[in-house]
Amino acid sequence: MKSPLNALVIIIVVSNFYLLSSSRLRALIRMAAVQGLILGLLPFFTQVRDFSGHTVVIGAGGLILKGLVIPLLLFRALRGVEEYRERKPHVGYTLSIIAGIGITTIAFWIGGMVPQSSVFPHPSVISLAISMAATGLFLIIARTEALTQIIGYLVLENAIYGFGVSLPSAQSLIVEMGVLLDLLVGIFIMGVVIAHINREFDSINTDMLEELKE
Amino acid sequence: MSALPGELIIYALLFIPLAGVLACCLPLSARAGLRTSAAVAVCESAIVTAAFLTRPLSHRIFALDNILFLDTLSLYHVALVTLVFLASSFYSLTFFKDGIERGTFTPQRARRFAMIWNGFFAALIGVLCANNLGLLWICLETTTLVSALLIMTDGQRASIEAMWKYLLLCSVGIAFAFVGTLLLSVAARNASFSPQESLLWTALYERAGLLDGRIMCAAFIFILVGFGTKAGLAPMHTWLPDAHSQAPTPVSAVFSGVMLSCALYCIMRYLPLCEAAMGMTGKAHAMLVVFGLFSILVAAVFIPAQKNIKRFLAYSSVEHIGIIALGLGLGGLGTFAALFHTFNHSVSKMLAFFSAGRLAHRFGTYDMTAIKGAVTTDPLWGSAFFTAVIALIGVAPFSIFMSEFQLVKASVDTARFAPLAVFLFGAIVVFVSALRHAIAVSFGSPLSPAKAREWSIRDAIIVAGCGCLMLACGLFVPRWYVAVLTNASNIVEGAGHLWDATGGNFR
Repeated sequence: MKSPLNALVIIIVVSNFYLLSSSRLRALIRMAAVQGLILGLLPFFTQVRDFSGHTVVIGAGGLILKGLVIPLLLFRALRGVEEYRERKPHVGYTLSIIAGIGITTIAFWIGGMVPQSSVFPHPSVISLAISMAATGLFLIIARTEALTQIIGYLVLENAIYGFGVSLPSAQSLIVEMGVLLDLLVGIFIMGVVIAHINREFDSINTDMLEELKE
Repeated sequence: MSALPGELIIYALLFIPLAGVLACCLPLSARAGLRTSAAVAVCESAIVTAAFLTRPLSHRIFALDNILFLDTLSLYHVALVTLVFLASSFYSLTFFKDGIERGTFTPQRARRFAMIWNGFFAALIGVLCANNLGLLWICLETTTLVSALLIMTDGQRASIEAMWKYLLLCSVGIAFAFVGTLLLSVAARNASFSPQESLLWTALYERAGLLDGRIMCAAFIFILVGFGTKAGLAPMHTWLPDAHSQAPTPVSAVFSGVMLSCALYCIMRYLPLCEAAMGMTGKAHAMLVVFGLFSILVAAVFIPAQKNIKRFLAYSSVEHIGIIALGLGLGGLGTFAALFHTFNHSVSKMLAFFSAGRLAHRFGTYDMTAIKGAVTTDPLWGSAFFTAVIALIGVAPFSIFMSEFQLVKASVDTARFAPLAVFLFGAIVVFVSALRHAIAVSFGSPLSPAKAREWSIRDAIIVAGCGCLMLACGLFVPRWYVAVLTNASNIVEGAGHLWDATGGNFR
């Protein structure tokens, strides 16, 4: 069962690069949705040995929320927003891709050091999680549009989801569902804030938010 | 002893604020909306009192299949949360009075505010009652999501900015804490805990010595950074001054008074697990000392330059959270001092925020350079502000002096003079600069002439209550209170169980 899992890992890494290199907001949402869909498939490959109803619920929950509901929420948040692309990122796109290469290399180097064991049965998914977490943080720091920062947060959450499903220890269902629900509510509230920012500042560029700097 | 009454206490604690949320769906007037939160807090305090009276100190109460529980450490924090919510919800009646009379604070907004307020209360109680560490994380993240909406009550540009920063930074921070939680469950499964037990704090606590030390060390770093962000430990504190200064004053009081302490409470739960797993090497404690001292220093750097009265108080919270973390890091008597300090800081900071809010209202600005002669202009809130700041910087006979004194004693006893020196340096800088701010605000000739009395009996009761608590705990600590604190600090210390320090095995 190794090669389909690795194929998924590679697709997600590619989606990371797309997120790092695209400036168009709606394209970013679409790619985040693709990433969410593929992540939802992940538990079906990582938890083959202890496959249960639990796996199905977690996978389907991730699939529906990350691949469908959250992207729709984000599209809704963009209604009435004039910007359609990131105009003034703190870090340019060429540099972002170079950073992405660095992030991926380091992540897989670290993941390569994790010995395959009963504790961490899928080192490649751990590398993936590290590279996604770093990509998410990079997006939050390097981009100025509020929506791109939400996407960054989403990628970070995806990383944790990936890390979680790569572990053999299944959490209790309440916990995992609670975490997904918190994510959903969080994204919803961030969407509401985007609407407020857009109304007050006529833009969702967070560089406008500078009243409280010191 | 039958299990039922205990279970009922936990359910009641959680249910009352949730009932308050539902009650706000009714078409209430603005005042009645705010009163529901006051009523919720009153009922909650009755339950907390009952819990203290009926439960023997070393007894744990479980509910919902062991997912929820109460021990002295959590009950102590529940009491603190309830106290701060009680005072703050009564204060919010004063705070929003003008808005209600002028019609800007409409019944709809008031109901929304009270609904979120009660939801925030319920989430905090959830954090404190959770035995499952995953649930603990979920509840803490819920507090972030819910309270973010409270910051934006007035919908001004600056408050939207503060909310955005708060939401993003705390969510990202707490995401790290979740990685820590996952690592803990990995370590637990590796040590042959059953899946049901792998996140249950009570089960892990019994046999923490079996956990893999290296994984737990990594877990603690994630936990400390993650929950530390929410607690406002420097350098992850940058959201804190913005959120505290932009939120409506009752919300600032709750943020500073208990939300930060609840995040630290989460760290307190992980501390004994990680220390036991790492073989009591004191690594986890050392990390807390470093973060604590850094927070104190950051506060010492920023407090002298503050102009906004609420930002000044917010940085003071960074300092006090640093002091509590330092106490936890020192261990032993330090843990006792830290828990004692948590209460003292909450009460004093609450009063400071309340009076700062009223003074800002009276003078029409938050700018401390424009507020002069507060004591003559507004005798009640002016003197309350001065007293609260004096208490916060650690002047005897107020309670913060006592807890800081214990902290100094703890570090002298264990001969850790370097942290002590840094702490004292920071505390002295804060002392001088905060005193300068407080004197400038409180005394001098008032810019506006004294107006008629602008405070009600309710305000006087709030001020007197806080003042009495601050003084009483400074002068005389009753024996049962010492017993509660000792029991709670034993839990944090991991001394509730016997450890075989050499092999790390549970005897």
